[in-house]
Amino acid sequence: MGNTNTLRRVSKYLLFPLLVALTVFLAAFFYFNRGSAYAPPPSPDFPFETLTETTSITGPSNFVDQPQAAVGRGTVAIDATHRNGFRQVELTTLLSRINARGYNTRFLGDFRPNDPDTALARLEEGLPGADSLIIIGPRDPYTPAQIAVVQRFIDQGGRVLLMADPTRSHSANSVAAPLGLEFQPDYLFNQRDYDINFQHIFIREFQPDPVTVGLNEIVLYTAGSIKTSGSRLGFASPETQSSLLASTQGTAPLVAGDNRNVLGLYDLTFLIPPHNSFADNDQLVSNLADFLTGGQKRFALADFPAFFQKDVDILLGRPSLFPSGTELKNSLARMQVPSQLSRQEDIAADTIFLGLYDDAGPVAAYLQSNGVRIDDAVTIPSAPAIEPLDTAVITLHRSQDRHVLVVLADTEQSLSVVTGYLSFGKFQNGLVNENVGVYKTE
Amino acid sequence: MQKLAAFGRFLTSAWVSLPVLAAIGVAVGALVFFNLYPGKPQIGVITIPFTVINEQSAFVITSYLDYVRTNDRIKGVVITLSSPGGGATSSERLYIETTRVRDEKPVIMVMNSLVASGGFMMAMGVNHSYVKTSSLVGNVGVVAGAPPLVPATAPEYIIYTGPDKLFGSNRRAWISTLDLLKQSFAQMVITERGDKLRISKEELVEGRLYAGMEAVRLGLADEIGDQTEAIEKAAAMAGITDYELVDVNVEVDRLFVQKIRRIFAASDGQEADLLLPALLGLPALDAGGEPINAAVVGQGQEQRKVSLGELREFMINGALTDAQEDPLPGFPLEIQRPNIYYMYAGYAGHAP
Repeated sequence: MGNTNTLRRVSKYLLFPLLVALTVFLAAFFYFNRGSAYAPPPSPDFPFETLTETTSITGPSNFVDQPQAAVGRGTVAIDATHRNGFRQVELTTLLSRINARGYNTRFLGDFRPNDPDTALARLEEGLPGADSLIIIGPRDPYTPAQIAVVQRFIDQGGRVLLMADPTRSHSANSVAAPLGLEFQPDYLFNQRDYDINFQHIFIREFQPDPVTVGLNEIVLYTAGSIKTSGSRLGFASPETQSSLLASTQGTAPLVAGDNRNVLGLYDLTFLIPPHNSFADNDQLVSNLADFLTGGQKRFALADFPAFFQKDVDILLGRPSLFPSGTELKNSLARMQVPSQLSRQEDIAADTIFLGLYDDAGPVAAYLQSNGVRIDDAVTIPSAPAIEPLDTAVITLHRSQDRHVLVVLADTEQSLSVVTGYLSFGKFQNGLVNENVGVYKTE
Repeated sequence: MQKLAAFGRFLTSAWVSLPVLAAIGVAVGALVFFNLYPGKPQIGVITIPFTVINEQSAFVITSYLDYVRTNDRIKGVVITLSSPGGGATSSERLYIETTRVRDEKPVIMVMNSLVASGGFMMAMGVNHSYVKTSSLVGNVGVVAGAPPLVPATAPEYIIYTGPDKLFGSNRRAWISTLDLLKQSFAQMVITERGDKLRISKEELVEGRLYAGMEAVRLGLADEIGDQTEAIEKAAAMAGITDYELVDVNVEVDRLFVQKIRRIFAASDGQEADLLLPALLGLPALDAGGEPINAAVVGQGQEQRKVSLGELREFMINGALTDAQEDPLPGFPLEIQRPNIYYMYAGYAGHAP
């Protein structure tokens, strides 16, 4: 009985703190949590396994370059005088295709900065001997005088491949605009149909042209738009967009200029292995090599000896001219032009005829074709007749597949002097027109 | 008198005293609850001012997220973020850590001036997001360096056992990997935003930054609003009222300071209180009035002088460091870490 009372008393004292605690607990529970309990969203389930590489290319093509029979000796010049934005190793594929077509390649300049006069001198020195010119991403702009040299080169039938890459700064328009091309400051992209990156676009529509022969699909790895007053040769698909232009109408990454000897291409990466081996890119590289080696540049006498595209026969008007003949042969060898002394004219061969005025009979037709007559006086076009004493004449006769250089003088001594002029470039001082030069030898 | 005695017995009887005691108990309990109760639910507020997400900043932000996730009193979280994004893995870490908090309590985000790329990825891990009309958000995509077009060949004195052993992949494979990362980023946005999203995948991966109002229209954010709306939303989603706000940055920094104090207490007895302001980026002078720019750490022969920058990095990252100076003495190649960013680069260095 006593225990029961004690229990009652204890429970009465415990009741107070218990009720306080219970009140606080219930209040905390119901007062603070008056809304519904938080229900977290379900864990997201990402279908990552469905993500795949975005490309329609299955792998490198098995293209084999099959150059036409070597068309003969020629030179493709590559501009390196304007701090051009490329490295030689990046052109390996294109240059090897050019070499496979029997052409040499020659860099004009050494990629170092040049003042405009030096760059001009390099162009003036290098272009006369070249059949084609590659200009890639010049970072120094072309000056009007340099553009005039390039324009003259094109007027002579020289071909120009003008390239740039939107990912590399350039001043290509300084030379492109006068040739009818305008590189846009954009890049092309396609968000749906691309080769592993949205900037790697497919070109599947082509204008019939020797440069587009055999092309069904090429991939350009960051290409840009070129406006042209000539022809667009390769078109991006309609859903391909420009990063800058509202519309790609009227532009294309592969175009020809006003003059069909000018080609514009706004991507460089597709040339560089392994990018050249995807889709029909290798075919395009070969087509570019064909373009660069397939021109018909008209050479002038000033271009000596670049117009000789085959081995040269040296014919002598008389045996006593043998020393002059060997001297000229040695000079040609130094200029990388193979030659040999010959007794008889081969009408299929490039030829140099060395003789005195009295020996002019066999070459009269070549002289006549250039308006030159030699009798008591030396008669040349657009100039008064001159006394033959202490003189020499050089003429260049061109036919479709052959060049004949005729060198005549009044004496053996004069002939020796003028062959020396040929060896050391001084012959340019006596040019009367693009095919005739007359020299005083005293 | 007998009546009074009977009334007294009545008052002290259980029938009266118990209800009275109970009433007093409830009243006292209510008084305690409304005035002294220490356990009010909290809304944790995390403020991330303009921050490039890298391993260090991700570590700090993760410590904020850990704090709110493990603190039972915090019933909801508001994150105010401004970030151009940053490292890819660090950004993904923040997304994952945010979703871990979201699994337990509502997380609301206020996107401030710029929430781009990796920052936007983190925002995908919240329950609800607010933007201002002028906020810029989005920029889904990947930025990374790439192997050169013409790769260098390793010198003959380096032997490696596979074509990709040295560089990890060739350029083409690398670009392909980046494209997959871009797609997975886009897929993450598509999955997280679900039916709210009113923009195609192709448009999404263009990488555009959208103004806040446009982002709401396209379903990339939920509402126009600021921190007040976010706090109310967090409380409503958590089902709580009469909550406290807790500044998580301050709380975690306080823990950080305590950690520093403990370390210095075990060190050579330097004046930790003098160093603390310097470690927190504030001007600090030593007892002689000279600026403090270094500290002595370690004990005995291990004792050495370190800059405050090094010390702070040590505090944050423990013993780990990003320093690449001579990481493996005698190793013949310089280690180049492949860097992938979910980051808005902006216009840098473009002179007119």
